[in-house]
Amino acid sequence: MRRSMLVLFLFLSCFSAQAQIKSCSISGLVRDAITGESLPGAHVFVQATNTGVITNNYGFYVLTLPPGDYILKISYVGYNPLELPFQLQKAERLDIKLNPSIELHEIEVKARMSQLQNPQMGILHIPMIQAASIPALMGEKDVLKAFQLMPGVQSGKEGTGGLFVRGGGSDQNLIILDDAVVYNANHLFGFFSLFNGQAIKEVSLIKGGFPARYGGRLSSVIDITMKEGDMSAYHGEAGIGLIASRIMFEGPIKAGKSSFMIAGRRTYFDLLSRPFLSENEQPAYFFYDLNLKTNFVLNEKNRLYISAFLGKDELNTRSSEHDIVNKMGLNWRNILANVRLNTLLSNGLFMNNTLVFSQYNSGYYLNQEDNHINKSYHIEHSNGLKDISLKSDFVLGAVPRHTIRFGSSLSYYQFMPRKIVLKNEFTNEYDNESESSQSGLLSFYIEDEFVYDKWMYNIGLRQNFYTSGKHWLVRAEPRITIGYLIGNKSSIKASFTMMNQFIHLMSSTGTMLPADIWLPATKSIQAQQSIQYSIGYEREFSRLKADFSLEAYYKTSSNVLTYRDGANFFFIDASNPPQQINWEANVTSGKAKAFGFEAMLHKKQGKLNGWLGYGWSKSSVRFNEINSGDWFPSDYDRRHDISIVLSYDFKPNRKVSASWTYMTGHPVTLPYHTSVAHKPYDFEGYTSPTSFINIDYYGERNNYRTDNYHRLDLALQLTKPLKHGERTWEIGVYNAYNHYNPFMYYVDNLYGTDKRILKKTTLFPFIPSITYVRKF
Amino acid sequence: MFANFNSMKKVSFNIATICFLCFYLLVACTKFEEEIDIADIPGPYVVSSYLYPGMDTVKVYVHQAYSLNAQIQTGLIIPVENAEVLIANAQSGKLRLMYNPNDSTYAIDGNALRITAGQQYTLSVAIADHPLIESAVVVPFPNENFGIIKTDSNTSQYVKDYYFKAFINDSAGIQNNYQLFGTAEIETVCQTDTAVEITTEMSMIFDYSPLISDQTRDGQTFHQNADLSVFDRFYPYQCHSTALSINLKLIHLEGFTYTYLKALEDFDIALGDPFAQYVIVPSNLTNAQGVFGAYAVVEKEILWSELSK
Repeated sequence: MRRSMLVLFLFLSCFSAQAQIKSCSISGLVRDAITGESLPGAHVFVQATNTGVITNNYGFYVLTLPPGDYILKISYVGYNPLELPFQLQKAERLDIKLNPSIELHEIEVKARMSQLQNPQMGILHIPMIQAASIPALMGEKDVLKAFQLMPGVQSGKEGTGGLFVRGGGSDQNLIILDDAVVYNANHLFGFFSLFNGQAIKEVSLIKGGFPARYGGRLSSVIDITMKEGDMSAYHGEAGIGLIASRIMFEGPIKAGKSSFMIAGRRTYFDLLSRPFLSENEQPAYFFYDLNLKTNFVLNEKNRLYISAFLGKDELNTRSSEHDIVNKMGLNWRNILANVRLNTLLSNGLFMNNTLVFSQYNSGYYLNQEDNHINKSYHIEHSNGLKDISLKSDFVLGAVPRHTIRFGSSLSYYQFMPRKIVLKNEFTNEYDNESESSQSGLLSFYIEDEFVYDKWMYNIGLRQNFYTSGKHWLVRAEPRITIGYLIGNKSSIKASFTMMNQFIHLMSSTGTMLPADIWLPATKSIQAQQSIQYSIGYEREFSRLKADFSLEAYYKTSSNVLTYRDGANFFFIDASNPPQQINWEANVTSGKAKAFGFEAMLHKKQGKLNGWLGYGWSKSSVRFNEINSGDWFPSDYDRRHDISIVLSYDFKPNRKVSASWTYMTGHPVTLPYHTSVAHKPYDFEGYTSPTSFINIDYYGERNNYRTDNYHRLDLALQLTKPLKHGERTWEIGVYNAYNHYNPFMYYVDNLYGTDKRILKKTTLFPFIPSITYVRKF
Repeated sequence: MFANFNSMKKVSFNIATICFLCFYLLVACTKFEEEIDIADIPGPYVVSSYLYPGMDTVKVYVHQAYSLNAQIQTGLIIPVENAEVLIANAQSGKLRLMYNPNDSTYAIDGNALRITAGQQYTLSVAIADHPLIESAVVVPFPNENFGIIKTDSNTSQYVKDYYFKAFINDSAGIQNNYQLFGTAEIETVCQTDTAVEITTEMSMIFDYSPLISDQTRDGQTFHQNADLSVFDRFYPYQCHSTALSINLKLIHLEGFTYTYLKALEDFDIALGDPFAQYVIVPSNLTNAQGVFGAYAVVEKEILWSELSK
């Protein structure tokens, strides 16, 4: 704590010294010239001083410079770069409008120095236009799965959207949609992500060198920004795929003053399968999601954003025999809503206030009806989490070459780990019990981003005050990233970050099933903490219009959780009523460490674009109660990870793309031996020497490594301009050479015998897909 | 590409699309599985024994687990015949159990090794070229504080339903674990053409007998619902059934014995469920898998006429 305060003091001293220099700030918003949408992540660069900044999530930039004449260079992928000469004598506001480029691949971007000069390291960014060309499972474009193809990000089970970043767990990713935290980002058990690509404007993933404005998770930050809506004209996009259809519509509410965007998606397994199923057996699954965003320009200085998201998955089955009707179902749901007010307090000071509501619920039910005697049995299990947060963020550019960000967030969490409703009319048994707990987190942060000549740094501090019942925690998180420009084509960077995570996900499967439950850190299950050191090299290849990055990291984590051997949350029966379940007794905490390096050549523009990535990593964990307290490989420890993603525009409106990925197998726990286990008595309670069951002996945890994984996906996009808009047919193939990748390993009985055997299951062989998209 | 289709091409296109979709459904719905090989290494020794007061013969199973790859029918036990199995107790001293090839167990007469509630027993199993296998257990006292009450009944045309609530009064201050079983004795009288036939049968009154722990409910009363249906039959003969008594059996389990049996139950439930957390069955033996467990049983017979509503 003292050390953190010292660091803070040092950089504030530096800040005040710099403030003595006479300077003026130029600030404003970078927007799309046609739609009026803000452009987050645009590069704003001043050649004369060799300084630049990247716009924030609202398109805001601020530069503080000595008075003089300058040329401002602004660039953004997919837009024509702009050069604006201006004279700076006093603090000025300069809003910038960029025109979308008609021929994206022919643009030469001149103002790229700011990328090298951005002290942020460990960031992955995929332009949405590039994400849309990556081949996808069943043609469903998915930005989270696109990240799985990048080095440093491991995928979980085949086809699922779980992200395991630099040895971290899937719960250690902070997924933010328009400032609202998403607690379950999966549809269909993880095979598709919650995010409809049509509604997304910008997405980035940070895996190291976290700025102080982000906190609450150990491994990564995935920041997703929804489209705001066109302020000048109405547009839309509709798509029909094999499993789902989607539509997006946007336009002005009042031209130039306000706009809206609405997007929805729904699967139709349930509707299509209904005619083929008998009345007695009717499984039905569907998911849908709905994105809504509006924004209002209140005046020159204020802009209001209101966004909402609703996503739901539901599986219901029904079977009947004579008078007995059995129903079973499970569901999970995310509701997000937020209101944000952007204010330009003065030239050079930007403020954003956000009120966020995020709710996640999941549950399952069983129902049996006996229509002969008109009685029923019904049991429901559910769990959930509510998060209400108030955030204030400021960006200040009062000192030359410095951008100061500071702010606070106050979050209230309400956890409901278990609710059980029982109605048993057969035995006149009724029960309605639930558990709940609350926790709160107050965080303050300050960070200074500084660029001077060849040096750059981002120094920050995040201070957390956490409470759960009578348990209090005060944790400081210092963050430092330092960079140095080598020539004008490359830079080296190094970072140190400390992160804390105050909520835990109790997951039995890693697939975010309804049995996975969020719980607060408590006195006995402490908050997780990590420290990451990373060092990197970046180089820009102007002629290739590509960037090369090489990063190495070392990360240690403490208080990471896992199940104790034999723990079982999933099966709740009469012997485990909610008041008897002791969550803390089912888990154990330990340490984790991960290290590795990642190399990536990323070409974001041109007829031929894509990336080549390679990652080498090793991650291991240690728990006193597991594997004799020795270090052992973590669940998604994969040594090698290679990805090649290429997209080629071979003719106007004709595009072919391919992605190939290779990953070393990951550890799983498998039984090696089998035998019988004697029971003392039979199921009626009579002492029986012959009562036994066959059981398997697992030995050590994560004792087996799965087969290596590799897959080639291909896609062909055929676009045709129409009188109003355009239409695109996409024909794709997932797993083109039909490699049997492992989905899971399990023990089964050999057909027709009692002999136990180990089996590997492949879920997705060669799968073709066809999708139709119409833009209007 | 599709702008200049003539009608013939459109038909071909539609057929191609349908074929494509059929192929897609065929492939997408196929589940691919293959058996995999794992290292064939010798399995751990497994020792199992349960003690309860008044048992006639104390038995210990000693066998060796085998590789999943071994071509052995599951359920077959590979007994270890040349082990030295000893059980020691303050009352009986250290006694050796002899191997009985008929039931593949090591056994000793219950009069020689008397099992008494509250006593500690230690087990040691010596096998050549293997570290000594050891464990200890304290036999629990029986719990007599349990019973059952009738809560409701319902009569329809051919059936009478009775509802009960069984209860266990837990003793505070010590860890207790239970499993409760219950059966009803039913007498059926059938009037045939020539005679009256009387038969009795036992029917279970609990759908399921859960393992219960007082870990978080120390000193409380545990309830378990039960029900019984008694039928009146008219075909082929007119039969009338009456419940005579309820038999309750409360098994008071020693701490690790409860944990072990719970793990076996969880293992059984999770088997074949790919989304369930795998269950590692624990052991209280050093250098071996299995259990050295103990329990105490109390049985009560409650006459139907004594059941209060």
